[in-house]
Amino acid sequence: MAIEHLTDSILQDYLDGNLGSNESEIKTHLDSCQLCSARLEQYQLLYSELEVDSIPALSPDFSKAVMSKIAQVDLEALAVEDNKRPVAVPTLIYAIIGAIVTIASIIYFVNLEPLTRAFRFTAVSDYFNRVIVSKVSSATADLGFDFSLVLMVIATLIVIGGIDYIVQHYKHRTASFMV
Amino acid sequence: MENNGPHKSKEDQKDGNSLIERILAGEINAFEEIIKDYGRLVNHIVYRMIPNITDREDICQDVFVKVYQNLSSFRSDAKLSTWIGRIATNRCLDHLGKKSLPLADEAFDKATESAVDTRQRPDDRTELGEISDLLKNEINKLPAVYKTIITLYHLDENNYAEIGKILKMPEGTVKSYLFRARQMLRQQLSASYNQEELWQ
Repeated sequence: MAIEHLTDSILQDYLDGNLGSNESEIKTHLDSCQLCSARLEQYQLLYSELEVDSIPALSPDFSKAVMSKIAQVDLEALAVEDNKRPVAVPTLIYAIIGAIVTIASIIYFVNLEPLTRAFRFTAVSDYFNRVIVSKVSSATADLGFDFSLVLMVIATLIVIGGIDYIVQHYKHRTASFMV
Repeated sequence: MENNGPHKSKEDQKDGNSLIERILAGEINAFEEIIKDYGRLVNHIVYRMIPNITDREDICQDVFVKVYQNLSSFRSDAKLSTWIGRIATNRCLDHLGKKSLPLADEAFDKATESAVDTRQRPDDRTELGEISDLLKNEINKLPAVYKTIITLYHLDENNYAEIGKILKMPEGTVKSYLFRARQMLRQQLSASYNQEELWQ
């Protein structure tokens, strides 16, 4: 390989260790050429300066700040997951039973007669009073307990369950704001 | 410096994988080790790519939050540092509103212009005094892509292929940018000091 002077590319490859079999030939040239060895020295100086880390380090509480952000992200993800979760079958059945019991309680405890009369639903109201309510009442009386008491207990349990569900549902959201 | 040597051994990679497994199993505090091991790399990338000082630390934090959120998608055969570096690059590009780093020629022209400007003001040059100060100043004038490549190669000891993966560019482009950046810096050194002054 005939060399007049080494190019910048060769000098950089020499320092990077990328020359392979040509390295000894380059070394020989550098030993005999002042200009190329001076340029190599410039590169050596440059390389040593580039390996000095002058970039300001991250703040001492950086790790703590990241971990705090991660905790917040986790809670938010949990809340989103909760909101997206499909309604479970037992919850659905519970809701249907709750709705039926609530409607039955209203019919049993509240006097709907003026309302049914106003909307000319007397036939419906009479049917409920005479057929459904009286039959259920006599059936429960035969079994030895009060129908109204059973309705009240079920209605109370439904109200407690509903409040508990609401509290559980919003608990994660409230917690995520507190972080 | 060996260009293609694995700077993180396979053992390090194994440690990284077991660390990820621990975090995914619920040991969230183990993530602090990832921050400790790769905070420097992320800081270097963000520092070089984001000009606004006040945004840098927030972006670094965001990078680690993204790393945490995507840990389950990390492939164990990949290198953790490269994967995290890539996330840092993407976050910086998002912040800058760019899809990729500026084109080489455009960046090079800008850098050359600034180099000519410096030569026209000899008084400013001599005031810099120390060679390292001069170099620091000249590196800061380089386009972001050059600065980032120089830092990833010389400080973080990544090879061309790893830098290419981190910055989403071909290995050949990385090598060519690195060469041009160093050549510019050497020329600046020569232009700023007389040979005698420099080698005394």
